[in-house]
Amino acid sequence: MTRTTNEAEAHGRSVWAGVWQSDLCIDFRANRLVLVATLLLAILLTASLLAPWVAPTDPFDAMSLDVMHSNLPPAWQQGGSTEFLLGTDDQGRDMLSAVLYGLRTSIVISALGVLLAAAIGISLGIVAGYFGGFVDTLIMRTADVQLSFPAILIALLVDGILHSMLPALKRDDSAAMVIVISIGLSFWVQYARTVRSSTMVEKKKDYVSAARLFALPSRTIMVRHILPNVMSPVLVILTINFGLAIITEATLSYLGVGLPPMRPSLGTLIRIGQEYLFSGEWWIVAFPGFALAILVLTLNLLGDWLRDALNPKLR
Amino acid sequence: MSGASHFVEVRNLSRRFDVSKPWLNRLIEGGGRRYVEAVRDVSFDVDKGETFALVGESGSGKSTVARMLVGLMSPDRGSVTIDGTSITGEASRSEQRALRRRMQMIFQDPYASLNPRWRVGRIIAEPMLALKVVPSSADAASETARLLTLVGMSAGDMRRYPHEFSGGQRQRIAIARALAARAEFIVCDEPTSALDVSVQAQILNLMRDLQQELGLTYVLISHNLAVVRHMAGRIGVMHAGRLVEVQPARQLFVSPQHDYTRMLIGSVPQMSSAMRRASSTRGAPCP
Repeated sequence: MTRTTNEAEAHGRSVWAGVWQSDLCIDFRANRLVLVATLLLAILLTASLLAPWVAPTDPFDAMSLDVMHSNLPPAWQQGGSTEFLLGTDDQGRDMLSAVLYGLRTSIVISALGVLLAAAIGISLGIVAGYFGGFVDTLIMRTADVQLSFPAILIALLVDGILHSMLPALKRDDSAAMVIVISIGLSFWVQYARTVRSSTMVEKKKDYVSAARLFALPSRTIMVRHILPNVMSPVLVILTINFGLAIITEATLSYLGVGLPPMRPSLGTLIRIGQEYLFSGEWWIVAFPGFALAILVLTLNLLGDWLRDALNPKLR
Repeated sequence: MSGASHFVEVRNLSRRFDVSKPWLNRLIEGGGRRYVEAVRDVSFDVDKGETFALVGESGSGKSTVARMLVGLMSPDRGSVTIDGTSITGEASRSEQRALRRRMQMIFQDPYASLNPRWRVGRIIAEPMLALKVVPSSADAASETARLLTLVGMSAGDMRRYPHEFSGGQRQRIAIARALAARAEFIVCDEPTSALDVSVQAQILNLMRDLQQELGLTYVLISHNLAVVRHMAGRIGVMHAGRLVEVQPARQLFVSPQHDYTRMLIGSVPQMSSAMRRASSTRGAPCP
């Protein structure tokens, strides 16, 4: 009994040591810039996902708002208050809380959008690559056509279609869904192309032939054998696309197609804030913009590093 | 009756590949479709428990024949019959499974024939579960352990990944996987050409031992005449998609009938010099 637990412990330790000593991890530890980026990203992610507990106030609770506190500058400026570290907007909303909640909305919606894009792209790409021929042509030409539609046009289309199909739907309620679907529909092509080309390489390998000899249906071969072997480039695209999706979400919200002011994302906050920029209340637009920039920058740094680290030719 | 008594019967197998330019190029530049005849009218029989070898240079169509034998590729013309059942005809899924169970393949490159993301235990258990050879995954695990020891590895290797093994060990795993399907007929496509010379003999001997133990029937595809002579009872020589000569192994090396066979035997340097040395010292042709 003790022997088996010891073995299990030794096994667990060796797994950890294996991860710690793996090329990827050594590369990661050696790269200061990536370490800092990851740390920043981790702080942003935890602070925003735990916003209800971390934020000083609930910016969406109208009862807690006080007009007396409106348009306060950040705490370190003349007239600022330590109660509102990053100042307040015209309704007396605490900017720090608004940014944290906005980050949360942006992150969740972009993540869902990117995951939807990956799901569509991976499944279509693997089918196109595995079957080839007419199916391949159909899917990949659709992808080419898809690329000519910008995300904003897709968002308008999705928004229009959704409301003509469900007239009872309120625009504010459906906004999040519209953005998730639009991000999904405008980003899937890259996944499909990457997965298709990897699939075409993998399906010629003999382990796939061997699986065909076991009379397995194509679906099983695609999911069990090919999918795990085409996932590493997808991981890189996921990371980089996450940053792009956050920008896309911010753009859509900034342009007014996206989230309403009552449940603002970073883009909505920036749209609201820019109205006050010229009257001197710079903090209303600057802090959401700053948060957005840091978030996208860290994600891109991480994605770039991952792309290089997973590419053996660049080692 | 005598014609029907062979275990594997291959009749007039033919296959051509379309190597035409894309449709648009053909339309503009003119010129019709072009084909390469990879395999033409290949017929042979293999008896139960025998090793039949197909030799020939690269591009002679031997791998295409191998793939058609196990049904990975369908022939344009001709048929393959195993124990009276045609594998080229239409069959239901359960019939197909029953046939698959009887024939498997060992591939040339053991680095590509095992899924790199799977543990060895899962790789070997897969055919048992897919072809319903064993009723449960617990049975599959114990059977996997048995097969691993049968091919000269340890049962603990189940928990490891293919990249932890050498080429020879991987080929042993591939053999265990073929046996896991309870195959009686195994097509071996250059099973040792990706291996070190020192390991080649071990794998070939393992294959021979398993053949004697389990009564397996092999079709061995190779370009290596030394391997073929070590293993095969009868040898078929392929050249440019045709089977130019079929002879018992001993006879082929002593009295090759076809010009191409003579050239093939003559083109192996260490072989012909070894034969010369053997005949000069002992005064008898090499067996």
